[in-house]
Amino acid sequence: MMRFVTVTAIIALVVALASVAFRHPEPQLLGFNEFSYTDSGQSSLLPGTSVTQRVNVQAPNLSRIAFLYSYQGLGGDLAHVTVRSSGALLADTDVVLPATLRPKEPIAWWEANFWDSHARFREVPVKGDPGPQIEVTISLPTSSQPLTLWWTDLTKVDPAFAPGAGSQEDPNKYLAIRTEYGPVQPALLKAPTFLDRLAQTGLPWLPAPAIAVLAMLTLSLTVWVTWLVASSASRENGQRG
Amino acid sequence: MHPSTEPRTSSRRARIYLPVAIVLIATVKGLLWTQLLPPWYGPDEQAHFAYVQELALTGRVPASATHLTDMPPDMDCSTQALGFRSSGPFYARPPFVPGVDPCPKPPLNQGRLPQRLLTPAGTYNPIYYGLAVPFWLAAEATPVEVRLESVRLLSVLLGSAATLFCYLAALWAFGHDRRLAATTALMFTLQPMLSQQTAVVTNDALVLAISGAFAWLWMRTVIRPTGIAWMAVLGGLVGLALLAKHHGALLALLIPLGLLLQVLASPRARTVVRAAAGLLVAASVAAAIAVAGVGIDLLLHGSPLAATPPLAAAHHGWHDYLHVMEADSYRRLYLLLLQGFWGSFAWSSIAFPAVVYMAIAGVYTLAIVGLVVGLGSNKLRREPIVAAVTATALIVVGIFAMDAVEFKLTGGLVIQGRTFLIALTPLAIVLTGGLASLVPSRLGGAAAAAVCVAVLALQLFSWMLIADAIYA
Repeated sequence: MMRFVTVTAIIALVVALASVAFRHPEPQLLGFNEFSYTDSGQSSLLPGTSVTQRVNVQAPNLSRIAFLYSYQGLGGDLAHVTVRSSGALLADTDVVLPATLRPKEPIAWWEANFWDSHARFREVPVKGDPGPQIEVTISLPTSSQPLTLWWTDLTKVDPAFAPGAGSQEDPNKYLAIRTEYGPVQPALLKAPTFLDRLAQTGLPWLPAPAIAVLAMLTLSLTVWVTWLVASSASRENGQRG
Repeated sequence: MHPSTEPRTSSRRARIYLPVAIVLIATVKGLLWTQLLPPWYGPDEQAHFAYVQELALTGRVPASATHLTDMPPDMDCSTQALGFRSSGPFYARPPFVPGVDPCPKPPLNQGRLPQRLLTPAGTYNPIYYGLAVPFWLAAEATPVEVRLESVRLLSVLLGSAATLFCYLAALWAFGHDRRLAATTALMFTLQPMLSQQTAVVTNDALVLAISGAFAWLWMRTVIRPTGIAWMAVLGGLVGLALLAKHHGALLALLIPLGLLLQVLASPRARTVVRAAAGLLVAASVAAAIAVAGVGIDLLLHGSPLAATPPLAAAHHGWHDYLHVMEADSYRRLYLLLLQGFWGSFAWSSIAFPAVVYMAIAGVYTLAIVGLVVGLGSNKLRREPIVAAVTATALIVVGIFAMDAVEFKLTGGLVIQGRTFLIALTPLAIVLTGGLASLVPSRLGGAAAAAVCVAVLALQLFSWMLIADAIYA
């Protein structure tokens, strides 16, 4: 009985984690060095105004862009986003903005992670073949609440890591816009990318599959110890019974 | 299965295989984490590694400062290539792309020494860094990332030792019940934050190994009153912990606690005298080692203690400390005791979803209920559990007291959730004992297995989060 429960629990655990990894959507590739989180700032986009940012395209198959915002209205308001490249319109759409938390709200206790509560990325699908640069414009309708947009402070960031030229409205601010490439797929299917990059940065004396071998060894040994723990108890209980 | 009522596990498998398997898990998992976390992604890893490199190359210890200054050129280039920016910790996702090098790497064997290294790690005695030097030398003729990975292996070994000590401490706490001891040790080694701190270059790893050894011997003295020699060893471990990292000194609080529990268990004049003598010996040995450490600092550093970084204007009172906590709605307690303690990886930029920390808080609550039930119904042995609970509380309160003192001196809040890891062995005993007491005896094995599966889940989830955040 005890062994059955143990095996069932371990299988349930693996299935649950695989399910989390399968449900979590992830683009094939994310843009690199597009935002300095440590030299960042935020400012309000007022109703009836807009802001435009040029963004470098880093890889083929641009599928989405995402902008980082905080919004403390009731939620559900709209922003209008257009994405252009060499005159072609790649996206022209209204996006809904779910509300984010104020740092001092009691619920922040429960959502204390860096991004979860105070800011979030809003993705916008892009269609068409972009050139080396795209132009992203975010505008707010006059009926909307002010929207907080995040940006990299180009006066503070190390010039070697500046993501690009500033926005049209303020050359010192580079809007936090992330580019995403390839189809959006379950994170589990991106495992080969993770493993490939891991192999390039990890212990040089271990061959590329080492990470998988170490993971399987850890998992197997832990399952075995759990088995010993459970089956020993079962046998002792049997002896006493 | 409860320690006071169940027969001892006598099977050969449990006696031999369990500790071996658990130490193997600690080692293999440690190697995995060194692979999972890219070079420099341990908190302040640059500062610690620069110390080791300076010591290995020159025999000198670096000067201390609040920030790492004048990093050796090879490290500087490597950290930039791996996503670090001038302001230090990264938060971007992905933080780097392998193969994208923003600066030309210095030729091999060059660019290893700065003009004058200043590092926050300069406040520490070289005990950990001296142990790391052979690991650095073993990879001397290799690129800096390889040297770093080599030094990381010391932390992995220390983590494995700490896990074995935790197992031995739990054996004493649970009356040699190997299943509960194995569950406790598994909880210890698979705790995600401990996994990180015993896989990167940091003196935390040494403090954790020393505090593990201390917990084992201390728990033994709580169960079985011991002689002066044992107290001398405990005092020695306190001294070493202090030299490894300042908050290691808090282990000293547990020595009088253990002796007090001995006296309460056997309130006779002879016990009191023996306890007083033991306390004196332990204090003397701890003090002697601390003085020896100061002597080493004098020889290497030119000053009696590693210089403390300049302090800010001291206009911060005790009341202000409480006010700062209150102004933040005590959110810092959550950040330290749950998020920072259980999992806030790679310079605190990767964390579990909040619901995981809430679940852990729920487990704390369940364990406390279980302790009350277990102690009330005599399912748990009173002395070791009371000792473990009190030890955990003393260390936590002690760390907050150190935090308050630091705040009073500098106005800064410096402690991190990972600082509390030195309390992990007694905490793991408390959690395992409490949770095991919640179920009827016949389901004890299932409860222990469930705890093992839960900590495994936490470990696997942390791998997924780190891979997703860093390698996306």
